[in-house]
Amino acid sequence: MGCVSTPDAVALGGAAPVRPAPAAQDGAAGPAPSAAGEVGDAELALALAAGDERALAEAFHRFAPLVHALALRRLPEADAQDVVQAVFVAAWRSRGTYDPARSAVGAWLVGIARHRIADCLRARHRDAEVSTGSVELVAGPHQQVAADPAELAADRIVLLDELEHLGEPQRTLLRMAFFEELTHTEIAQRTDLPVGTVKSHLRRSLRRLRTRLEGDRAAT
Amino acid sequence: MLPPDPGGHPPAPGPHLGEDELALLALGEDVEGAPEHLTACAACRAEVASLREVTAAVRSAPTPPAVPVPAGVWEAVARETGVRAVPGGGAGQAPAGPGDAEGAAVAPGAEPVATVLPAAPPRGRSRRSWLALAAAFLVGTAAGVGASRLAERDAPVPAAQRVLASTELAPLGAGAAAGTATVASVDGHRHLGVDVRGVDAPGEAVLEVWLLDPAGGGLLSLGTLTGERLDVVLPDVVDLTRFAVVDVSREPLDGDPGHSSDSVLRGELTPRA
Repeated sequence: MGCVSTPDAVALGGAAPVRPAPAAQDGAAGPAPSAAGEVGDAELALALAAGDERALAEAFHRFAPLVHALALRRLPEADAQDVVQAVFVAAWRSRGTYDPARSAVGAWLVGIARHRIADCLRARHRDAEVSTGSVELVAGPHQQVAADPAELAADRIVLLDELEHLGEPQRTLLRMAFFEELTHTEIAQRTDLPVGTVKSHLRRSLRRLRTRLEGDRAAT
Repeated sequence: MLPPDPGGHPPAPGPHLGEDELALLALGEDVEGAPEHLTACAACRAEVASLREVTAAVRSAPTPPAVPVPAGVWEAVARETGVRAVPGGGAGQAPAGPGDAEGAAVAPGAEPVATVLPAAPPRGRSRRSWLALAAAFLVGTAAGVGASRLAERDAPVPAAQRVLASTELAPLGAGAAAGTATVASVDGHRHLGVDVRGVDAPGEAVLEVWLLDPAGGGLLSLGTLTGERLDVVLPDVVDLTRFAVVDVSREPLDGDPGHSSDSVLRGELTPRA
């Protein structure tokens, strides 16, 4: 392991790999994802939070390639692979504090990934200072990488999660603007809301999404 | 709120654009008079550009770029977490055999066995054996012997030895390793007892017991196992609500006092009422 293999990485491992009681006996089973079938995002989130091993494997299947792409933007291959590993180990160990109601699995993993990438960059930075006295990062400030497809995709996952957490009617209004590309006057007509109300909802919601994006990017 | 216009530039024509207008522009709408103002006003231009990043990301392709991950990465994750399921589904899925419900989902919010206090009658096999082990520790008999519910209920608990917290230690990798950790109050001191079994022979290494602070990242070494057991008195300053995780690691005799990152067993202490 490279830059993420620190004693901290060990100590950060929180919850023990516990054995949930047999659900059938308890009568307290949540929605159990089918082993091979397509599992919805919500089901995946609940299963992961509940400690279902298959949920971790499924999350890896869905998101590891994106996490890998994100890490490769800023790190060499070996470190990028370490980051992917560290992200999913951390996800498993902190599943006890993961709240599916607060964020979707993808957005949660992107958040962890961005922190891990930042940790790795800092470690490399320290090593570089110690060995050569110079500071050399693989990539520059985030403005330069923001247009990268992997960064864009990560941003999209985070923003759609934030969009889902907007109240109504804000969520519907912003969806109409984003995906149906309706103007605010068209949205007002469709929804029977005053034009001024639609405008202020769109403005506030868009700014809220930007705040979330900035917070998420701030990690790296 | 607009960032202040950088000094030195001629004032932009007319007043700044309103926040509603800036948002509409970022969403791709045309706003009357905006192009002229934006040409001359760096502050409004920057604001629109910043909001447009949101729009651009949300409207970007729904299929993220994917860089395939070498198989070894998942294997390393599986090794570190003890997870046996396989990404991608299909035949490699971990079986959830009877009595081994690691693959089963439980309702959100439901307490996992290792953190449930044994106030209610035991329901699962793993909890029963765990209880038996805790009881065995208390009366000083060999762990794992006489594991029956009757034995648990009848196990005498000396008043001077009160169990404060305990956990079942589960393996981090594959294998049959298992163990228990129990903190008991004995004559006003907190004793931690760690029992392990089924740990692969460490060879030129020892098994060391640590307390981890999962939130803050702290790490505290408690000593090495002799045989399959360690008993230590915990210093009073150690806060078990913070250092809640018991970790057993394989430590090579290499002179490095730090954690080797080779953990074999781990469990989170649960206080007992």
